[in-house]
Amino acid sequence: MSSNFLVSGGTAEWHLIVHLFPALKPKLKYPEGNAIAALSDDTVRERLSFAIKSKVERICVLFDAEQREAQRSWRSVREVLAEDGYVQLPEEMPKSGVICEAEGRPRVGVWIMPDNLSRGMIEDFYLQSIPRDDRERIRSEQFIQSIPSSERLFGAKISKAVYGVWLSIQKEPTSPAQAITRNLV
Amino acid sequence: MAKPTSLEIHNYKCFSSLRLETVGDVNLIAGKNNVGKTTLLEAVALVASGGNPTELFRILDRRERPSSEAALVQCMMDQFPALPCFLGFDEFGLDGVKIDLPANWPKDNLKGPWSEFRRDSHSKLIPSFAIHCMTGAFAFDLTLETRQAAYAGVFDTDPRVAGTMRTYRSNFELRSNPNLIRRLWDETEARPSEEILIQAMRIIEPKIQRITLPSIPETPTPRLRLGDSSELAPITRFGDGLTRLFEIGLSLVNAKGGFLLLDEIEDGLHHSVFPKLWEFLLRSSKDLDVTIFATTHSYDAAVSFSRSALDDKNSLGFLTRLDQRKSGIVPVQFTEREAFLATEEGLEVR
Repeated sequence: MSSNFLVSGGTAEWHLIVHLFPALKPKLKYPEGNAIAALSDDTVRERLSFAIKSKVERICVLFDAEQREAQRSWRSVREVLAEDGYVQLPEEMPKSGVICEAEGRPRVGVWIMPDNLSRGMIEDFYLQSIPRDDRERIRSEQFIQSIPSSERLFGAKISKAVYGVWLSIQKEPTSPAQAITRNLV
Repeated sequence: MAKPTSLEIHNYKCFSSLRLETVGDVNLIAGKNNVGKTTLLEAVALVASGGNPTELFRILDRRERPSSEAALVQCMMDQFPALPCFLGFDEFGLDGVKIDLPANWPKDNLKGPWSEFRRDSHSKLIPSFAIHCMTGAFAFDLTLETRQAAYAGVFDTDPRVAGTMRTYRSNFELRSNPNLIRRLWDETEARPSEEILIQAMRIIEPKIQRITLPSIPETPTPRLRLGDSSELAPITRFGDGLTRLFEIGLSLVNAKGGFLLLDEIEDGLHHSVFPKLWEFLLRSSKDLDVTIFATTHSYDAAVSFSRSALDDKNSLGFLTRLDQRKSGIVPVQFTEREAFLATEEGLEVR
């Protein structure tokens, strides 16, 4: 019986978490269905609600800042938590995340995935797993650098652009979400 | 008859205050040992009995019967033998013990409070088991005399005890009571109910064509005819599961308009039986106007209940887990969809 439960996020988030915390792999159930797409607020509320009622010990809620407004999502999650007896819930979701506790109920950790404007965006993390002397990485960086600053449609999102190019020149070109599930990074 | 849609229990045994916001057609109660699953069934039985003190003493005797009459005399509760049901609550005797059904419950049925103190002719406090209904309030003193009267069947024919609904608890009531089996069978034989009973038993043995109950009073062992065979085989030849389904089916068809209470429903039943059993119970609860409460420790039973309840679009099935917290025992209620999703994810719901 699973003691941990991932409420939001799909297979990409699952791979990311077990990559960071390998010990969680056998305890964290692999998301079923087409879980790569971001979950709607209603789905997150529903999943959180039944997970709280079940007897898991820990629940992880991840907001993807790229695809939703994290504060709006937090308000939705906060409502469910408050109804279920969780107290001392902040009005605004802290950037560092929040851990919520209530007697007889699971610990609920809520975090926002890094967005593309923040320092240390998620693509920086992915790029760390690619060796610096990787030929395709070098080519991708050279290509991005060759674009004049004034013509960069991607603005400051350099890591994201490099990562995207790197993925597109692999033997099997793929999308960022699928790259994680295929263990490319 | 309207079924209850919610249920409140105050100051009864381990429940200081318990409220089930939702009561469905079929209600599966889960939870650890000693959180009050069986106690909840008892409270429902008390309400449904119409306040008949016989029910109260039956509950006490099943749980707390002294080893001998001598022990009973020694027992500090000997004067007020029903007190253990209501001990431990400060409110006892002040606000009274309440087992309330919701506002939409028919007016001729009972409302709390159920127990209070009164003073006898010597100004001595005597705990009473009080019944409040629309036509008046009646109180039975919780004394040995009441107990003796209950066992003499005095209250069973007391016209003051109105609104009694049929309630049967198949596993702990039928096996020890051959006369009850006989009486229920007489109400069932050669009626449409008999076909429903056969349907229940076919969940395990699809070849059953007929059931009979020999007229020897002391051995009410059902006999079954299978397929084209002319032999009537005793049910004991088949194993406990079939006997269990006989008890559940017989109790169900005789509980029309009332309650069926199934303690530890998994007893004697293989997990493969549950999908069809829940399907049958959900359908029958609607057809026969019976509200069913079942308790379980079985994950298989909870998983198949969740699936069957979601599949059945006509009946409501609620999974409730009783949790022990600092504030007391609290119910955690899953909607049909929540229970389904949680069990599909492999999460623990019991």
